[in-house]
Amino acid sequence: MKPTRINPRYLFTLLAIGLMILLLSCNLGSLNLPYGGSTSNSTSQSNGLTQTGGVLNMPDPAAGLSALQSYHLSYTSTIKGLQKGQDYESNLTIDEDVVEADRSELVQQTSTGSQPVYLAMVVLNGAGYTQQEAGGACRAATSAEALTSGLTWQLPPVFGAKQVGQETVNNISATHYQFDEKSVQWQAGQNGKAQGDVWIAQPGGYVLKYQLTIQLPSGDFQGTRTWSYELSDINSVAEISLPKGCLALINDIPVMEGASGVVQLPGFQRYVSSASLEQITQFYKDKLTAAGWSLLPGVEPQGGKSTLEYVQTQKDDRGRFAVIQLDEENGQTMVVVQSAYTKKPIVMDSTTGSRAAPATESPVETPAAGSQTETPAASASLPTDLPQYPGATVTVKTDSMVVLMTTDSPDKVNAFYSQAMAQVGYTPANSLPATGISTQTWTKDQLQIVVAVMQQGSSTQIVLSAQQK
Amino acid sequence: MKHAYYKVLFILILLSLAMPQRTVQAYAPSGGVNVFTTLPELICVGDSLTLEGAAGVDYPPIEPSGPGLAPLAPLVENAVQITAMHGKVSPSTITHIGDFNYFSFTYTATSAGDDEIKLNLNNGLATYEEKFTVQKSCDYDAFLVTYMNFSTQAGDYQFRSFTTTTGMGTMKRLRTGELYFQGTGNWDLDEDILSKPPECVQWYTPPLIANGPFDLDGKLSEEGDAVDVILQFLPSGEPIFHGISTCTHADGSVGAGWSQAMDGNPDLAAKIQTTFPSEGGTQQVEMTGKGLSMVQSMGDLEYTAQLTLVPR
Repeated sequence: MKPTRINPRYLFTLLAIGLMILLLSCNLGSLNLPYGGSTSNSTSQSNGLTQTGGVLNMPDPAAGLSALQSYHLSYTSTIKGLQKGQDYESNLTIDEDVVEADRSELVQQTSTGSQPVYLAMVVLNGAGYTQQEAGGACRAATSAEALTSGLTWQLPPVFGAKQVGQETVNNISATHYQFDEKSVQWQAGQNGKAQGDVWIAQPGGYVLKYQLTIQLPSGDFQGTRTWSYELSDINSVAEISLPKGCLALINDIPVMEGASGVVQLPGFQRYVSSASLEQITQFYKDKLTAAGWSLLPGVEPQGGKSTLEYVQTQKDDRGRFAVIQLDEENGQTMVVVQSAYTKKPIVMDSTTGSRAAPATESPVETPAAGSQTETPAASASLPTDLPQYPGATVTVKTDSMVVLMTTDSPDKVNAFYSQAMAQVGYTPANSLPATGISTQTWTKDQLQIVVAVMQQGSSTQIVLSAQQK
Repeated sequence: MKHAYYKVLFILILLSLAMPQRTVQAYAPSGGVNVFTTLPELICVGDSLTLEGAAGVDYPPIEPSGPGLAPLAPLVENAVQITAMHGKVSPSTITHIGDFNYFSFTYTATSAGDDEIKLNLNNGLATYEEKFTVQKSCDYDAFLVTYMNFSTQAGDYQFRSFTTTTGMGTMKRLRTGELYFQGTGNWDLDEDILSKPPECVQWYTPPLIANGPFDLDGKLSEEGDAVDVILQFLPSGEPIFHGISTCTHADGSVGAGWSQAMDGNPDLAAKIQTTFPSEGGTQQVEMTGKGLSMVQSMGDLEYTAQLTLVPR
């Protein structure tokens, strides 16, 4: 058969007609007439949603949510039927809490032929967290960029839904609309049947509740699709919580400038700094004290290693602690910060305890029942003239107490303090030798110093404590 | 004349291409594909990661302004093709019915060097790329922190203490079997007495300072996606000296005392057994052991143990 050659004249005519149709369709489109036609009683939202003459056009069902301070969202979509003659079922549920920029979302999905999905996602204080198993390990990132793509859930747009009444949904006044397949043509296709309801918050203009069922009788897929969506707790969700087993990144404890090899994991931070042990210790003292943390005095640095323990009382009366471990070697210091919360605050009875109490405490010391009426002793700062045992190592030090260790014998230590205390003007109050331990009490002006000495293995421990008389 | 037809034809074609074609726009879908799961800081050969994401095709906003706009096949299959430059991905294609779905796939690092995961929705409708570097082999650093808030009533005295334990260790892959790890570390304990004895108006009890070793054992799962870890505390080996406690009574007299814990009993030592993803992470873990049970039976114990595994 000989191929037919099209006459250019006919082609021109056809193209001219085609172009006219195109131009006409563009003009019609630019009119953008709302379904229903009437212009009376019209309300229009900046999100494109229009409620005109009892008819709703809603091109973007997610629009308007960003104006809410907080809310809880429940979303379910299902597909059930035959795909090319084979059974197919898919169920997707999403529970989402939003509080301003923070968000938590739990996604659970099962689909025929696919791995089930469990995904907890949280954006909290700018950090992103994901958990793939309930109570399981948590992945975290200092940036939540991956979790804020907006790809979270979808509802079909609705055009031409008809108002059926005013109702209250979850304590919010709403206009109820109903619609059928003509309003969701993309999802229903030419042969599908649909039954839908949507409730629009008044005022607000956002979707409060949405239900849609579509039956698809023909095509590759034959079956039913459903969507269910509901907002609740509007502007009353207090805060976003991390999933159980998921710990917060330590993004409120600063990292030294110039840190390298920074590892940020939930409840854990590690980096290397060229700063010295002393510089890093001072850095944390400055930064954390300013942020309301209190340092618990602990073991003095030894062999290039040091541990700092900070505690803080939370607004909700929980406690929080941070342990900072420093390990200096070859001019580089590895810093490890680990932090966790305690159900109860970490509170000492009084400042006369073993360690300085957190600054947030205001303890009231009460003498024990049956005590005499004399004024109880109160702690005092260690005086600067207090003799330090020569060559002893400081193991613990607070404002009112210091613990020293020496390899000298207890007798030698007692002899030293008997002489040295007198030389700097202290008067002996009493001396109590006891099994394995001896105490000397010295006074000067209103100050009382207790020197306790005892053998510990091959060493001798010395405790010097100061109090007011 | 023939040339004139072609000139007009050419101009009309240009015009038609330049004009917005609304009918086509209405049916042209747009979409997105994204992976939500954060990649670990360090990925090593043999690691198997489960990653989760979502793919969606946007609904064209069809206004019911006339017949014939609705598609014949409203529910289409969406396919996400997943490829990696070097590693293995499974499945390599994920198909879903419907416009929006979440999905899960596994990436296994097979060789060291730069790698890239690419996702492609519906032949280019939307794409996603993630680049990273795979390390040759990974051992693990282990970090531990625990706190114990303990209280018990002894007559008029409510004893309260706060104890932290920190630990650091390294768990190395055994050369004899690639699935097994072994290592050691050291723990440091620091206990503070929080409560004042009732007979004292001023008191001092030094913190209990103790330290000792712990053992680490690990086993990588056959699939390479998880590591079972056992951390076994071992006793200090030396007597633990609690230091000198002093107590000033209301009459100004000072008493002092001390206590000492002898060698720890390994049978009482605590153990932690847990499973991490192969990329490590931080978990709150349970401790078990007769010693812990004894403490719990003596009073009210609130504790949390937090174990961190960092590939190295």
